[in-house]
Amino acid sequence: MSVNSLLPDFRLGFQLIAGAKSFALLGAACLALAGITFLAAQFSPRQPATVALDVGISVIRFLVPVVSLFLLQVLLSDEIERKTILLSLTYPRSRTRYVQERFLVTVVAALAIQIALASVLALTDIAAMSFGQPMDTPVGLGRQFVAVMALSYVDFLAIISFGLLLAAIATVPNLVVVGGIGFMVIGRSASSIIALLEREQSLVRGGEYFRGGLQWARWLVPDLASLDARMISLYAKWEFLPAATWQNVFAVLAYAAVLVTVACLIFERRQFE
Amino acid sequence: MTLNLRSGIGGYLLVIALYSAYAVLVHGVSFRVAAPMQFEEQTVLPAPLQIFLYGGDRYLAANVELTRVLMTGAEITGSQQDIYHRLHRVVAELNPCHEDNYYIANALLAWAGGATLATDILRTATDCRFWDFVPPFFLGFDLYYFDRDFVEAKKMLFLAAERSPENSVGFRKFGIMMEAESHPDLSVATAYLRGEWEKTTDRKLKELLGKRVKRLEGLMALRNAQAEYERRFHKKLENPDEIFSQGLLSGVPSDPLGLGYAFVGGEFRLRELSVKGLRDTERWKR
Repeated sequence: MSVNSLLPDFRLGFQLIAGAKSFALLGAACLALAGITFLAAQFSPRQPATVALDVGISVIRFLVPVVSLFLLQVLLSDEIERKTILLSLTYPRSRTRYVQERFLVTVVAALAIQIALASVLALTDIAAMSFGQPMDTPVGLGRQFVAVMALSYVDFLAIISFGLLLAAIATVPNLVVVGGIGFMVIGRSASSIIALLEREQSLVRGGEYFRGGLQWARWLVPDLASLDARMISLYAKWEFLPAATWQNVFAVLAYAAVLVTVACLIFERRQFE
Repeated sequence: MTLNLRSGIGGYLLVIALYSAYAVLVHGVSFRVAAPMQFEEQTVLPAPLQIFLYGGDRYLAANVELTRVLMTGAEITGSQQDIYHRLHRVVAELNPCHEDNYYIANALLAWAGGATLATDILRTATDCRFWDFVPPFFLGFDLYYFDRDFVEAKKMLFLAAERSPENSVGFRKFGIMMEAESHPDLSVATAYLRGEWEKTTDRKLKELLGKRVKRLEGLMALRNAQAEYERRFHKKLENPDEIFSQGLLSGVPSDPLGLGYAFVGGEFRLRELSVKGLRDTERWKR
């Protein structure tokens, strides 16, 4: 097997998405991120750089998964819808390899987009530090920021895996993006909402009923909120890193692996008309 | 007769006829100018719901909710304190470590008459921002100045002293003075201060406390002299100079802080720096 045919679908997939238009869109996204972050800093009297970093991380945590889901949709669902999948599957390689390589393209593209956006954010934040007076609590843009981005990437992996599962079973292509966003929202909110409901006993009548109903969610949906440790970067304090971080990371990775495996299994047996 | 819309003129005539009907109907309806809305925005969604609405991103929810406070910016009247308090509280639930939240809550709420509302937000910030000396300092000052809870205020000032090495001496002195004020009797307060002065090993703190002990001792001397005068001459002291002319005291006690003493309303008091905006707290008048 020559090198060229080592990951043929990967190269094909990459060529599908890495056109001039894609790079233009990425550039536009970077500019938008810089603009939003810069403006957000204006709203903070005491900590402009911290708020800028906070809003920037929120934007990245929204943009990267959504764009990746869209890429997955282009790479898989559109092929299924346009029936060109029947041609792609005639090549002498297993369906699983096909799915895995397309998934790999998405995952690598997500990483590239995240690195680009994170660099823009870091530069914008350094500029934001010159607003107003020097802050009492500086932001951590070194290893802390890299750690926050790494944990977020694990979060994105879970979301993209769920998107893959949807692509394998869906007949409507848009289900990938919409369903993936839904998974993202639920995965990220569940544990925070449960924690707040436990604290605010007076807030919701029958709060225990809701809590009991939500507790089972953690067996179905991973706790993505535990991977959002942005406070270590916002206030440059490693103490904010939760103690069970490695456990959370491996749990989410395991969940993603389960989703990818199930997606491949489904794809192997799927009948295309 | 079927309507043939494809032949030219018929279709246009139909459109014109229908529009004329609409125009006639609309003409009869006059536009009521809506009265401008008098109520202000009073809705603050609970934190769990906000987390869900912002896609699980509680930090974004906190930032946006705080922007509401900043953008409103109107003068805080008594009726508006509730909405600001609820906004600040929901931000404190979403992101307890938010610096702007506690800072603005203290500035807007505490000094506009809602000090007790601000204290719970400051407490949350003190717990979350374990490295920051500013929240416990604000909290301590608010407890001392508005709530008159001297013991708790001193605890907070000492916590702030722990967190800020460069301000440690000043905060501890402030805390000790706060607790001194909790003693209604001047001699008890002076004894307490003297005790603290003897206990402390920090040179700078000892020096600062020593000055205040001397100041209080001077006030005690003046009051004792006044009591002696009234006992001896059986009349109320009206002119403070009579103490010195009668020889009860050799001279005005020197105040190491340089502020001096005043004779107001028939008794001696410490002369305080008057800061515009601070109400005059009457200490050791009892």
